[in-house]
Amino acid sequence: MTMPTSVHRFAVQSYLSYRGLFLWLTPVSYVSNVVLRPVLAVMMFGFLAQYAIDEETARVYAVGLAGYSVGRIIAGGVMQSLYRDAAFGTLAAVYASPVNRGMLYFSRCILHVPNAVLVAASVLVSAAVFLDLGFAQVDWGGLVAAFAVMTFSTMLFSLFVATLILLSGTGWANWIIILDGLLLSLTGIIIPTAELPVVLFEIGQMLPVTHGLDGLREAFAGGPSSGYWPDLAREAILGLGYGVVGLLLFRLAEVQAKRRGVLARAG
Amino acid sequence: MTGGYAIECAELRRVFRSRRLTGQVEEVVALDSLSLQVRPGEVYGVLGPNGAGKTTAIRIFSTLLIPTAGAAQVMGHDVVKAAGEVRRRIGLILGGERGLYERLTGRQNLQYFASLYLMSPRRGAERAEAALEEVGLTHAADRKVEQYSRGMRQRLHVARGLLPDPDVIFMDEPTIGLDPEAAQDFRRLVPELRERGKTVLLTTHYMLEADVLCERIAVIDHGRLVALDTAEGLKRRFGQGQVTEATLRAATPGLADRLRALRGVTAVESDMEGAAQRVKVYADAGRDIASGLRNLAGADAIQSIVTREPSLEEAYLSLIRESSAG
Repeated sequence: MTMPTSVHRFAVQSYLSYRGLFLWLTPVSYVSNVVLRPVLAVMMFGFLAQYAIDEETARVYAVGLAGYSVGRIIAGGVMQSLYRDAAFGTLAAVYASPVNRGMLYFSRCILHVPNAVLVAASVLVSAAVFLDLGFAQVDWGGLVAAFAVMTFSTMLFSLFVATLILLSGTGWANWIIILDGLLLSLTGIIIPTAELPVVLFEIGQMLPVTHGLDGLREAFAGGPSSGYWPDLAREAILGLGYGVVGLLLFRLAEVQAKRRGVLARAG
Repeated sequence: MTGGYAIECAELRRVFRSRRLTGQVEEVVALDSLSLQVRPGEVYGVLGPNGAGKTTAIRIFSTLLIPTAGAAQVMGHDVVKAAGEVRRRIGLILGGERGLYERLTGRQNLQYFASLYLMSPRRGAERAEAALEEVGLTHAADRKVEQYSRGMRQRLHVARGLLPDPDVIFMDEPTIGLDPEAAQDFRRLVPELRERGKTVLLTTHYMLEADVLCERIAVIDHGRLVALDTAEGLKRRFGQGQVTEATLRAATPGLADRLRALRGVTAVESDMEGAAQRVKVYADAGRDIASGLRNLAGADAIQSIVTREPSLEEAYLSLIRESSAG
């Protein structure tokens, strides 16, 4: 297998599976999920904080919501892609083919990166407009790195959860609701993680976004790079761990499907 | 297993287990010691009622299902131990609405599936084009599948199975949903595949399809092989001797019972079509049932009468009845 061929294959699988499986890829769904939803979240939490606490808290929330929105759009897209592959009966074609499972697995997430970029931009711009969020002090290198690492970790975490969905044979919508709640409440977006009960704090430490968000806030405040790199490294290592475990579970899901005979008939 | 066959299985058994709410485990035996051998280049039919185990067998051969016991090989490779080798050599055509990306065009679907079969970009594009042409979908290649009719989707399933130009093609009810013209096109394609040296294992409920296309036909029921022969052989062995079909101008009360009493008659079917009565008499070969019918109903009452050999469908039904009774 030559390198250009395998790269081309990965590109084909990424592009066509994204087009075929990401059902938010219609104008109304896309704008609603990638732009309106995160902007409305910023407005709701930002105005709530302004009204109930103070303007500075509103700006802290806005940065947190930028991290959350990246995680949320990636999770929704990646999880539904693998879930729908099973629901459409197209996963059986994968299982009956000689394709490299690792390549196929990771091809399901890569094209969701531009959505993360657009979401982050939407949130930050709307926060600047509505909450008077300033950018003069920002360490832009650190900010970009923080978003990149959070995107990376949430992609691999979402693939991991998607394999749990395959193994459990449950619906995608239930999982995204649970994950949405976990991200919003345990990763420090609104509630500082230090204020959480010990068990919830520990769960939060295992979730993507938590460490990346600490790094993002450091970079946003213009602190030294030594302040955010350790957090970003933790976030990246966590993502890698989910990537490895998720791939193993994906192979396990295939074996289980063939043992139990739970594959859809068609495909 | 002796080897040398394109597809071979021995004592293949598959049991599906499910747990009820009460905790009780329910077992369904889908395949029960099934043994088959398909020669290279052969078109081999598998017939059987719903739930007989046809699809389960195809899923095991195509590495989508692991057998509970027994062994199966495709082109000399074990479907469990050397599943990767098997996958490189097979094409799979499954019926139904699912298994395609609705939002992609027919061509994009095939490009995607070509990438699963490790084809180079050029080879993938060439094979996609050829497969679309083989199934007559070139004109709709750039239309989204969500706009396809059921028949067009089924054609795309066929194209997908042909895409890797495999040595062995598994076809599970490939003409389901096709209109008569498309089904006829498909039936023209199978002999072409055989001429190209492909081995085809075909399951179908259409007896005509099996009769016309298959060199040998296996009949399975309750997961077991109940007969294996050519179509002609099955008709000879399991068809009930001969069939006499007659249409009477009007109903003749008690005719069916009187026909059953004739010597050599094994079964009689009678129904009404408007005012006319249609009678089908199964009898031992060589019996002159036509004369007996004329005597009983009166020559003037008979509109038409014909005596023929049993069809594959009649042979199949007789076989399945015997299998279920035994």
